[in-house]
Amino acid sequence: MIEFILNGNLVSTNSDATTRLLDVLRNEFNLTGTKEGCGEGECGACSVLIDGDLVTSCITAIGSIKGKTVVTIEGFRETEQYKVLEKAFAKAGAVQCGFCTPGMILAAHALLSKKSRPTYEDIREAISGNLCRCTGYNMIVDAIMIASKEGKGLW
Amino acid sequence: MVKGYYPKTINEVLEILSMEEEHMLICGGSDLMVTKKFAQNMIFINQIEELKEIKEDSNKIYIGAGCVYKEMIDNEIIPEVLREAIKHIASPAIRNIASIGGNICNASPAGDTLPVLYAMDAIIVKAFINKDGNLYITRVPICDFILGVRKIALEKNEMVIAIEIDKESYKNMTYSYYKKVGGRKSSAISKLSFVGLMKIENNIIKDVKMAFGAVGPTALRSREGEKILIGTKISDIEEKKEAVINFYDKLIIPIDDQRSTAKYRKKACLNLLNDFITYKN
Ligand SMILES: Cc1cc2nc3c(=O)[nH]c(=O)nc-3n(C[C@H](O)[C@H](O)[C@H](O)COP(=O)(O)OP(=O)(O)OC[C@H]3O[C@@H](n4cnc5c(N)ncnc54)[C@H](O)[C@@H]3O)c2cc1C
Ligand code: FES
Ligand code: FES
Repeated sequence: MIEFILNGNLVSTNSDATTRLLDVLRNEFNLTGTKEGCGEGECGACSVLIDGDLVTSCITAIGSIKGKTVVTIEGFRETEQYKVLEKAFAKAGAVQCGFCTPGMILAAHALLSKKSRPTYEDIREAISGNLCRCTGYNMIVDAIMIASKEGKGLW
Repeated sequence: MVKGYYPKTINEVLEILSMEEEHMLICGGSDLMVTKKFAQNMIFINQIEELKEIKEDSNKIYIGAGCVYKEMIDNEIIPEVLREAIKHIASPAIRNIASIGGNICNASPAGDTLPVLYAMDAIIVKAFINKDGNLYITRVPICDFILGVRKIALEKNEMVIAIEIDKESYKNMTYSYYKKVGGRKSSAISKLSFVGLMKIENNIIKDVKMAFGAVGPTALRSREGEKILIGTKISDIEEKKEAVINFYDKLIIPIDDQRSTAKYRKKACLNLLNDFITYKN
Protein backbone atom coordinates (compact mmCIF):
# COMPACT_ATOMS: atom_id res chain seq x y z
CA MET A 1 0.00 0.00 0.00
CA ILE A 2 1.30 3.44 -0.93
CA GLU A 3 0.17 6.47 1.04
CA PHE A 4 0.41 10.06 -0.09
CA ILE A 5 -1.33 13.38 0.42
CA LEU A 6 -3.74 14.23 -2.35
CA ASN A 7 -5.22 17.72 -2.44
CA GLY A 8 -4.81 18.01 1.31
CA ASN A 9 -6.08 14.55 2.32
CA LEU A 10 -4.07 11.49 3.31
CA VAL A 11 -4.97 8.77 0.80
CA SER A 12 -3.65 5.36 -0.16
CA THR A 13 -3.61 3.03 -3.14
CA ASN A 14 -3.00 -0.68 -3.60
CA SER A 15 -1.88 -0.27 -7.19
CA ASP A 16 1.42 -1.71 -8.38
CA ALA A 17 4.39 0.51 -7.53
CA THR A 18 5.05 1.21 -11.21
CA THR A 19 1.47 2.30 -11.97
CA ARG A 20 1.42 5.76 -13.44
CA LEU A 21 0.29 8.49 -11.04
CA LEU A 22 -1.92 9.69 -13.92
CA ASP A 23 -3.92 6.43 -13.88
CA VAL A 24 -4.27 6.42 -10.12
CA LEU A 25 -5.59 9.99 -10.18
CA ARG A 26 -8.06 9.44 -12.99
CA ASN A 27 -9.20 5.86 -12.31
CA GLU A 28 -9.07 5.54 -8.54
CA PHE A 29 -9.82 9.08 -7.45
CA ASN A 30 -11.90 10.25 -10.44
CA LEU A 31 -9.75 13.34 -10.78
CA THR A 32 -10.19 13.70 -14.53
CA GLY A 33 -8.92 17.28 -14.73
CA THR A 34 -5.49 15.72 -15.19
CA LYS A 35 -5.40 14.88 -18.91
CA GLU A 36 -3.48 12.35 -20.93
CA GLY A 37 -2.00 13.61 -24.18
CA CYS A 38 1.21 11.90 -25.20
CA GLY A 39 1.78 9.57 -22.26
CA GLU A 40 5.53 10.10 -22.64
CA GLY A 41 6.33 13.25 -20.72
CA GLU A 42 6.33 15.50 -23.75
CA CYS A 43 3.07 17.46 -23.76
CA GLY A 44 2.41 18.50 -20.15
CA ALA A 45 -1.36 17.80 -20.27
CA CYS A 46 -0.95 15.48 -17.27
CA SER A 47 0.98 17.99 -15.13
CA VAL A 48 0.42 18.05 -11.37
CA LEU A 49 2.34 19.56 -8.48
CA ILE A 50 4.41 17.24 -6.31
CA ASP A 51 5.75 18.89 -3.18
CA GLY A 52 5.10 22.14 -5.06
CA ASP A 53 7.08 21.22 -8.18
CA LEU A 54 5.55 20.74 -11.61
CA VAL A 55 5.73 17.07 -12.66
CA THR A 56 4.23 15.09 -15.55
CA SER A 57 2.09 12.41 -13.92
CA CYS A 58 2.19 10.09 -16.95
CA ILE A 59 5.83 9.21 -16.32
CA THR A 60 5.62 9.31 -12.53
CA ALA A 61 5.46 5.90 -10.89
CA ILE A 62 3.14 5.89 -7.90
CA GLY A 63 5.95 4.33 -5.84
CA SER A 64 8.10 7.41 -6.31
CA ILE A 65 5.60 9.70 -4.59
CA LYS A 66 5.20 7.65 -1.42
CA GLY A 67 4.63 10.12 1.43
CA LYS A 68 4.67 13.13 -0.88
CA THR A 69 2.10 15.85 -1.46
CA VAL A 70 0.20 15.89 -4.74
CA VAL A 71 -1.96 18.79 -5.90
CA THR A 72 -4.10 18.39 -9.02
CA ILE A 73 -6.09 21.08 -10.78
CA GLU A 74 -9.11 20.08 -8.65
CA GLY A 75 -7.18 20.83 -5.48
CA PHE A 76 -5.64 23.99 -6.88
CA ARG A 77 -9.11 25.30 -7.83
CA GLU A 78 -9.77 26.03 -4.17
CA THR A 79 -6.98 28.59 -3.90
CA GLU A 80 -6.90 32.38 -4.33
CA GLN A 81 -4.11 32.00 -6.87
CA TYR A 82 -6.35 29.85 -9.03
CA LYS A 83 -9.01 32.56 -9.11
CA VAL A 84 -6.49 35.09 -10.37
CA LEU A 85 -5.22 32.70 -13.04
CA GLU A 86 -8.74 31.73 -14.09
CA LYS A 87 -9.71 35.38 -14.62
CA ALA A 88 -6.47 36.14 -16.43
CA PHE A 89 -6.87 33.15 -18.78
CA ALA A 90 -10.43 34.24 -19.57
CA LYS A 91 -9.41 37.85 -20.10
CA ALA A 92 -6.58 36.96 -22.47
CA GLY A 93 -8.63 34.38 -24.39
CA ALA A 94 -6.07 31.73 -23.43
CA VAL A 95 -8.53 28.82 -23.41
CA GLN A 96 -9.90 27.26 -26.57
CA CYS A 97 -10.50 23.51 -26.39
CA GLY A 98 -9.15 23.54 -22.83
CA PHE A 99 -7.25 20.26 -22.98
CA CYS A 100 -3.90 21.86 -22.14
CA THR A 101 -5.37 24.33 -19.64
CA PRO A 102 -5.08 22.40 -16.34
CA GLY A 103 -1.40 21.76 -17.08
CA MET A 104 -0.82 25.35 -18.20
CA ILE A 105 -2.44 26.74 -15.04
CA LEU A 106 -0.28 24.55 -12.81
CA ALA A 107 2.84 25.42 -14.83
CA ALA A 108 1.96 29.10 -14.41
CA HIS A 109 1.51 28.66 -10.67
CA ALA A 110 4.83 26.79 -10.37
CA LEU A 111 6.54 29.68 -12.14
CA LEU A 112 4.85 32.46 -10.17
CA SER A 113 5.63 30.69 -6.88
CA LYS A 114 9.31 30.99 -7.74
CA LYS A 115 9.23 34.31 -9.52
CA SER A 116 6.18 36.49 -8.95
CA ARG A 117 7.19 39.04 -11.61
CA PRO A 118 8.47 36.95 -14.51
CA THR A 119 9.64 38.25 -17.88
CA TYR A 120 8.04 37.04 -21.11
CA GLU A 121 11.07 34.84 -21.58
CA ASP A 122 10.64 33.29 -18.11
CA ILE A 123 7.03 32.50 -18.97
CA ARG A 124 7.89 30.83 -22.27
CA GLU A 125 10.57 28.76 -20.53
CA ALA A 126 8.16 27.77 -17.73
CA ILE A 127 5.52 26.48 -20.16
CA SER A 128 8.06 25.00 -22.58
CA GLY A 129 7.00 21.46 -21.63
CA ASN A 130 3.29 22.20 -22.13
CA LEU A 131 1.94 21.89 -25.65
CA CYS A 132 -1.16 23.70 -26.87
CA ARG A 133 -2.68 22.80 -30.22
CA CYS A 134 -5.14 25.69 -30.31
CA THR A 135 -3.98 29.06 -29.10
CA GLY A 136 -0.53 29.55 -30.58
CA TYR A 137 0.72 30.30 -27.05
CA ASN A 138 0.71 34.10 -27.19
CA MET A 139 -2.59 34.37 -25.33
CA ILE A 140 -1.37 31.96 -22.67
CA VAL A 141 1.81 33.95 -22.18
CA ASP A 142 -0.27 37.14 -21.95
CA ALA A 143 -2.60 35.48 -19.44
CA ILE A 144 0.27 34.55 -17.16
CA MET A 145 1.65 38.08 -17.41
CA ILE A 146 -1.76 39.49 -16.46
CA ALA A 147 -1.99 37.08 -13.52
CA SER A 148 1.42 38.15 -12.27
CA LYS A 149 0.24 41.76 -12.22
CA GLU A 150 -3.23 41.14 -10.81
CA GLY A 151 -2.08 38.66 -8.20
CA LYS A 152 0.02 41.10 -6.23
CA GLY A 153 1.11 39.63 -2.92
CA LEU A 154 -0.39 36.20 -3.62
CA TRP A 155 2.80 34.69 -4.95
CA MET B 1 2.63 -7.95 -9.32
CA VAL B 2 5.61 -5.61 -9.08
CA LYS B 3 6.94 -5.22 -5.56
CA GLY B 4 8.21 -1.81 -4.50
CA TYR B 5 11.06 -1.21 -2.06
CA TYR B 6 11.55 2.16 -0.39
CA PRO B 7 14.99 2.21 1.23
CA LYS B 8 16.07 5.34 3.10
CA THR B 9 19.86 4.87 2.90
CA ILE B 10 22.47 3.69 0.41
CA ASN B 11 23.22 0.76 2.72
CA GLU B 12 19.62 -0.39 2.64
CA VAL B 13 19.65 -0.29 -1.17
CA LEU B 14 22.82 -2.38 -1.30
CA GLU B 15 21.34 -4.92 1.08
CA ILE B 16 18.32 -5.37 -1.17
CA LEU B 17 20.59 -5.57 -4.24
CA SER B 18 22.67 -8.32 -2.63
CA MET B 19 19.63 -10.61 -2.40
CA GLU B 20 19.05 -13.28 -5.04
CA GLU B 21 15.90 -12.01 -6.77
CA GLU B 22 15.81 -9.85 -9.86
CA HIS B 23 15.87 -6.17 -8.91
CA MET B 24 15.89 -2.87 -10.70
CA LEU B 25 16.63 0.63 -9.44
CA ILE B 26 14.29 3.45 -10.35
CA CYS B 27 15.15 7.08 -9.61
CA GLY B 28 13.09 9.74 -11.43
CA GLY B 29 11.67 7.12 -13.78
CA SER B 30 11.79 9.50 -16.75
CA ASP B 31 13.53 6.85 -18.85
CA LEU B 32 12.02 3.73 -17.28
CA MET B 33 8.40 4.92 -17.31
CA VAL B 34 8.67 5.51 -21.05
CA THR B 35 10.25 2.14 -21.93
CA LYS B 36 8.14 0.40 -19.22
CA LYS B 37 10.57 -2.48 -18.86
CA PHE B 38 10.43 -3.25 -15.17
CA ALA B 39 11.74 -6.02 -12.94
CA GLN B 40 9.65 -8.00 -10.46
CA ASN B 41 11.19 -5.95 -7.66
CA MET B 42 11.60 -2.21 -8.08
CA ILE B 43 13.79 -0.21 -5.71
CA PHE B 44 12.75 3.44 -5.49
CA ILE B 45 15.81 5.55 -4.77
CA ASN B 46 14.44 9.03 -5.47
CA GLN B 47 13.86 9.83 -1.78
CA ILE B 48 17.30 8.91 -0.45
CA GLU B 49 18.85 12.09 0.97
CA GLU B 50 22.39 10.64 0.88
CA LEU B 51 22.15 10.41 -2.90
CA LYS B 52 21.29 14.11 -3.26
CA GLU B 53 24.48 15.58 -1.90
CA ILE B 54 26.48 18.11 -3.89
CA LYS B 55 29.78 19.01 -2.24
CA GLU B 56 33.36 19.99 -2.94
CA ASP B 57 36.81 19.97 -1.42
CA SER B 58 39.85 21.81 -2.72
CA ASN B 59 40.52 19.25 -5.47
CA LYS B 60 37.23 17.80 -6.61
CA ILE B 61 33.48 18.05 -6.64
CA TYR B 62 31.07 15.30 -5.67
CA ILE B 63 27.56 14.99 -7.13
CA GLY B 64 25.20 12.41 -5.63
CA ALA B 65 23.73 10.08 -8.25
CA GLY B 66 20.19 11.00 -7.19
CA CYS B 67 20.60 14.73 -7.80
CA VAL B 68 17.92 15.98 -10.15
CA TYR B 69 18.62 18.59 -12.80
CA LYS B 70 16.58 21.27 -11.04
CA GLU B 71 18.89 21.02 -8.02
CA MET B 72 22.00 21.23 -10.21
CA ILE B 73 21.09 24.13 -12.49
CA ASP B 74 21.45 26.81 -9.82
CA ASN B 75 24.22 25.21 -7.78
CA GLU B 76 27.49 27.08 -8.19
CA ILE B 77 29.53 24.02 -7.25
CA ILE B 78 28.41 22.38 -10.50
CA PRO B 79 30.72 23.33 -13.42
CA GLU B 80 29.15 25.96 -15.63
CA VAL B 81 29.43 23.93 -18.81
CA LEU B 82 27.55 21.03 -17.18
CA ARG B 83 24.83 23.42 -16.01
CA GLU B 84 24.60 24.79 -19.54
CA ALA B 85 24.04 21.27 -20.88
CA ILE B 86 21.42 20.53 -18.22
CA LYS B 87 19.46 23.67 -19.08
CA HIS B 88 18.88 22.19 -22.51
CA ILE B 89 17.57 18.85 -21.24
CA ALA B 90 13.84 18.20 -21.61
CA SER B 91 11.46 20.66 -19.89
CA PRO B 92 11.06 22.12 -16.39
CA ALA B 93 8.70 19.32 -15.30
CA ILE B 94 11.14 16.60 -16.36
CA ARG B 95 14.10 18.45 -14.84
CA ASN B 96 12.24 18.36 -11.51
CA ILE B 97 12.47 14.55 -11.40
CA ALA B 98 15.21 13.39 -13.79
CA SER B 99 18.54 12.51 -12.17
CA ILE B 100 22.11 12.61 -13.41
CA GLY B 101 22.65 9.04 -12.20
CA GLY B 102 19.70 7.96 -14.35
CA ASN B 103 21.12 9.73 -17.39
CA ILE B 104 24.48 7.98 -16.97
CA CYS B 105 23.08 4.52 -16.21
CA ASN B 106 20.58 4.73 -19.05
CA ALA B 107 23.62 5.06 -21.35
CA SER B 108 21.68 6.42 -24.29
CA PRO B 109 23.79 7.71 -27.18
CA ALA B 110 21.74 10.91 -26.84
CA GLY B 111 22.28 11.29 -23.07
CA ASP B 112 23.15 14.97 -22.82
CA THR B 113 25.28 14.95 -19.67
CA LEU B 114 27.56 12.26 -21.12
CA PRO B 115 29.74 14.27 -23.54
CA VAL B 116 30.26 16.89 -20.84
CA LEU B 117 31.24 14.22 -18.31
CA TYR B 118 33.60 12.66 -20.88
CA ALA B 119 35.23 16.02 -21.55
CA MET B 120 35.82 16.51 -17.81
CA ASP B 121 37.06 12.94 -17.22
CA ALA B 122 34.32 12.35 -14.65
CA ILE B 123 34.68 9.42 -12.28
CA ILE B 124 31.72 7.15 -11.54
CA VAL B 125 31.57 6.07 -7.90
CA LYS B 126 29.97 2.64 -7.42
CA ALA B 127 29.15 0.73 -4.25
CA PHE B 128 28.23 -2.82 -3.30
CA ILE B 129 28.05 -5.09 -0.27
CA ASN B 130 29.82 -8.43 -0.55
CA LYS B 131 28.71 -11.77 0.94
CA ASP B 132 30.33 -10.98 4.31
CA GLY B 133 28.35 -7.78 4.54
CA ASN B 134 31.28 -5.46 3.90
CA LEU B 135 30.77 -2.25 1.95
CA TYR B 136 32.99 -1.65 -1.07
CA ILE B 137 33.33 1.56 -3.03
CA THR B 138 34.99 1.56 -6.44
CA ARG B 139 35.78 4.34 -8.89
CA VAL B 140 35.69 4.03 -12.68
CA PRO B 141 36.35 6.69 -15.35
CA ILE B 142 33.15 7.40 -17.25
CA CYS B 143 34.65 6.18 -20.54
CA ASP B 144 35.19 2.73 -18.95
CA PHE B 145 31.79 2.73 -17.25
CA ILE B 146 29.79 3.24 -20.43
CA LEU B 147 30.36 0.23 -22.64
CA GLY B 148 27.90 0.83 -25.46
CA VAL B 149 24.28 1.63 -26.21
CA ARG B 150 22.46 1.02 -22.90
CA LYS B 151 25.41 -1.06 -21.67
CA ILE B 152 27.25 -0.13 -18.49
CA ALA B 153 29.89 -1.70 -16.30
CA LEU B 154 27.63 -2.40 -13.34
CA GLU B 155 27.19 -5.73 -11.56
CA LYS B 156 23.80 -6.91 -10.29
CA ASN B 157 24.71 -6.10 -6.68
CA GLU B 158 26.13 -2.66 -7.49
CA MET B 159 24.70 0.84 -7.72
CA VAL B 160 26.12 4.19 -8.73
CA ILE B 161 26.26 6.49 -5.72
CA ALA B 162 27.99 9.55 -7.12
CA ILE B 163 29.97 11.31 -9.81
CA GLU B 164 33.29 12.94 -8.96
CA ILE B 165 35.00 15.55 -11.08
CA ASP B 166 38.53 16.81 -10.63
CA LYS B 167 38.53 20.62 -10.52
CA GLU B 168 41.70 20.69 -12.62
CA SER B 169 39.65 19.38 -15.53
CA TYR B 170 37.45 22.46 -15.86
CA LYS B 171 38.73 25.28 -13.65
CA ASN B 172 41.17 27.83 -15.07
CA MET B 173 39.94 27.20 -18.59
CA THR B 174 40.01 30.24 -20.84
CA TYR B 175 36.60 29.36 -22.21
CA SER B 176 34.06 26.61 -22.40
CA TYR B 177 31.64 25.94 -25.19
CA TYR B 178 28.46 23.86 -25.35
CA LYS B 179 26.01 23.44 -28.19
CA LYS B 180 23.10 21.06 -28.51
CA VAL B 181 21.41 20.66 -31.86
CA GLY B 182 17.82 19.46 -31.55
CA GLY B 183 14.61 19.72 -33.53
CA ARG B 184 13.31 22.55 -31.36
CA LYS B 185 14.27 24.50 -28.30
CA SER B 186 12.50 22.50 -25.58
CA SER B 187 12.02 18.77 -24.98
CA ALA B 188 14.17 17.85 -27.97
CA ILE B 189 16.37 14.77 -27.94
CA SER B 190 19.79 15.69 -29.34
CA LYS B 191 20.54 15.21 -33.02
CA LEU B 192 24.08 15.93 -31.89
CA SER B 193 25.90 17.95 -29.29
CA PHE B 194 29.38 19.31 -28.80
CA VAL B 195 31.31 20.38 -25.74
CA GLY B 196 34.72 22.00 -25.66
CA LEU B 197 37.02 23.37 -22.97
CA MET B 198 40.03 25.47 -23.97
CA LYS B 199 42.95 26.69 -21.91
CA ILE B 200 45.17 29.36 -23.45
CA GLU B 201 48.28 30.73 -21.70
CA ASN B 202 50.74 33.21 -23.19
CA ASN B 203 48.93 32.84 -26.52
CA ILE B 204 49.54 29.10 -26.60
CA ILE B 205 46.90 26.37 -26.29
CA LYS B 206 47.87 24.67 -23.03
CA ASP B 207 44.97 22.26 -22.86
CA VAL B 208 41.88 21.36 -24.80
CA LYS B 209 39.09 18.84 -24.21
CA MET B 210 36.39 18.11 -26.74
CA ALA B 211 33.56 15.61 -26.89
CA PHE B 212 30.65 14.92 -29.23
CA GLY B 213 27.26 13.48 -28.26
CA ALA B 214 24.70 11.46 -30.27
CA VAL B 215 27.05 10.69 -33.17
CA GLY B 216 28.06 7.18 -32.07
CA PRO B 217 27.10 4.47 -29.57
CA THR B 218 28.79 6.43 -26.78
CA ALA B 219 30.01 9.99 -26.41
CA LEU B 220 33.09 10.52 -28.55
CA ARG B 221 36.33 11.95 -27.22
CA SER B 222 39.81 11.55 -28.68
CA ARG B 223 43.05 12.46 -26.90
CA GLU B 224 44.81 12.09 -30.23
CA GLY B 225 42.65 14.77 -31.79
CA GLU B 226 43.19 17.06 -28.82
CA LYS B 227 46.96 16.58 -29.03
CA ILE B 228 46.98 18.11 -32.51
CA LEU B 229 45.94 21.39 -30.90
CA ILE B 230 47.85 21.34 -27.63
CA GLY B 231 51.00 23.48 -27.85
CA THR B 232 49.71 25.46 -30.85
CA LYS B 233 50.29 29.21 -30.94
CA ILE B 234 47.06 31.15 -31.33
CA SER B 235 48.56 32.84 -34.39
CA ASP B 236 49.01 29.41 -36.01
CA ILE B 237 45.50 28.18 -35.34
CA GLU B 238 44.26 28.68 -38.88
CA GLU B 239 46.93 26.28 -40.15
CA LYS B 240 46.25 23.63 -37.50
CA LYS B 241 42.52 23.89 -37.88
CA GLU B 242 42.44 21.96 -41.11
CA ALA B 243 44.39 19.04 -39.62
CA VAL B 244 42.02 18.90 -36.65
CA ILE B 245 38.90 19.05 -38.78
CA ASN B 246 40.27 16.38 -41.12
CA PHE B 247 41.07 14.19 -38.15
CA TYR B 248 37.54 14.39 -36.73
CA ASP B 249 36.03 14.09 -40.20
CA LYS B 250 37.51 10.59 -40.32
CA LEU B 251 36.75 9.77 -36.69
CA ILE B 252 33.09 10.74 -36.53
CA ILE B 253 30.89 8.09 -38.12
CA PRO B 254 27.30 9.03 -37.36
CA ILE B 255 24.19 7.15 -38.46
CA ASP B 256 20.87 8.03 -40.07
CA ASP B 257 17.90 7.73 -37.73
CA GLN B 258 14.49 9.30 -37.18
CA ARG B 259 16.04 12.44 -35.70
CA SER B 260 18.66 13.27 -38.30
CA THR B 261 20.91 12.04 -41.10
CA ALA B 262 24.55 10.98 -40.91
CA LYS B 263 25.47 13.70 -43.39
CA TYR B 264 23.81 16.48 -41.42
CA ARG B 265 25.32 15.26 -38.18
CA LYS B 266 28.84 15.12 -39.58
CA LYS B 267 28.60 18.56 -41.13
CA ALA B 268 27.14 20.16 -38.00
CA CYS B 269 29.79 18.51 -35.77
CA LEU B 270 32.62 19.84 -37.88
CA ASN B 271 31.08 23.31 -38.02
CA LEU B 272 30.75 23.41 -34.23
CA LEU B 273 34.31 22.17 -33.87
CA ASN B 274 35.48 24.96 -36.16
CA ASP B 275 33.43 27.51 -34.26
CA PHE B 276 34.87 26.32 -30.95
CA ILE B 277 38.51 26.39 -32.06
CA THR B 278 38.25 29.89 -33.46
CA TYR B 279 35.85 31.12 -30.78
CA LYS B 280 38.10 33.71 -29.16
CA ASN B 281 39.96 34.90 -32.25
C1 LIG C 1 9.98 14.13 -22.31
C2 LIG C 1 11.39 13.69 -22.05
C3 LIG C 1 12.44 14.46 -22.53
C4 LIG C 1 13.77 14.06 -22.29
N1 LIG C 1 14.76 14.85 -22.77
C5 LIG C 1 16.05 14.49 -22.57
C6 LIG C 1 17.11 15.30 -23.06
O1 LIG C 1 16.90 16.36 -23.67
N2 LIG C 1 18.39 14.88 -22.85
C7 LIG C 1 18.68 13.73 -22.16
O2 LIG C 1 19.84 13.41 -21.98
N3 LIG C 1 17.68 12.95 -21.67
C8 LIG C 1 16.39 13.29 -21.86
N4 LIG C 1 15.38 12.49 -21.39
C9 LIG C 1 15.72 11.23 -20.72
C10 LIG C 1 15.75 11.25 -19.19
O3 LIG C 1 14.98 12.30 -18.66
C11 LIG C 1 17.18 11.37 -18.63
O4 LIG C 1 17.97 10.33 -19.13
C12 LIG C 1 17.19 11.33 -17.09
O5 LIG C 1 18.39 11.90 -16.64
C13 LIG C 1 17.01 9.95 -16.48
O6 LIG C 1 17.01 10.04 -15.08
P1 LIG C 1 15.91 9.29 -14.16
O7 LIG C 1 16.31 9.53 -12.76
O8 LIG C 1 14.55 9.70 -14.56
O9 LIG C 1 16.19 7.78 -14.63
P2 LIG C 1 15.35 6.44 -14.38
O10 LIG C 1 14.36 6.29 -15.48
O11 LIG C 1 14.88 6.35 -13.00
O12 LIG C 1 16.53 5.37 -14.59
C14 LIG C 1 17.21 5.22 -15.81
C15 LIG C 1 18.12 3.98 -15.74
O13 LIG C 1 19.19 4.19 -14.82
C16 LIG C 1 19.17 3.20 -13.79
N5 LIG C 1 19.61 3.91 -12.57
C17 LIG C 1 19.10 5.06 -12.08
N6 LIG C 1 19.80 5.47 -11.01
C18 LIG C 1 20.79 4.56 -10.81
C19 LIG C 1 21.85 4.43 -9.86
N7 LIG C 1 22.04 5.33 -8.88
N8 LIG C 1 22.67 3.35 -9.95
C20 LIG C 1 22.49 2.44 -10.92
N9 LIG C 1 21.51 2.50 -11.85
C21 LIG C 1 20.66 3.56 -11.80
C22 LIG C 1 17.78 2.64 -13.78
O14 LIG C 1 17.76 1.32 -13.29
C23 LIG C 1 17.43 2.73 -15.26
O15 LIG C 1 17.97 1.64 -15.94
C24 LIG C 1 14.04 12.87 -21.59
C25 LIG C 1 12.97 12.11 -21.09
C26 LIG C 1 11.67 12.50 -21.30
C27 LIG C 1 10.56 11.68 -20.77
S1 FES D 1 0.47 12.94 -21.10
FE1 FES D 1 2.02 13.32 -19.70
S2 FES D 1 3.28 14.70 -20.71
FE2 FES D 1 1.88 14.16 -22.24
S1 FES E 1 -6.51 25.23 -25.73
FE1 FES E 1 -6.63 23.44 -26.95
S2 FES E 1 -4.73 22.54 -26.54
FE2 FES E 1 -4.52 24.42 -25.61
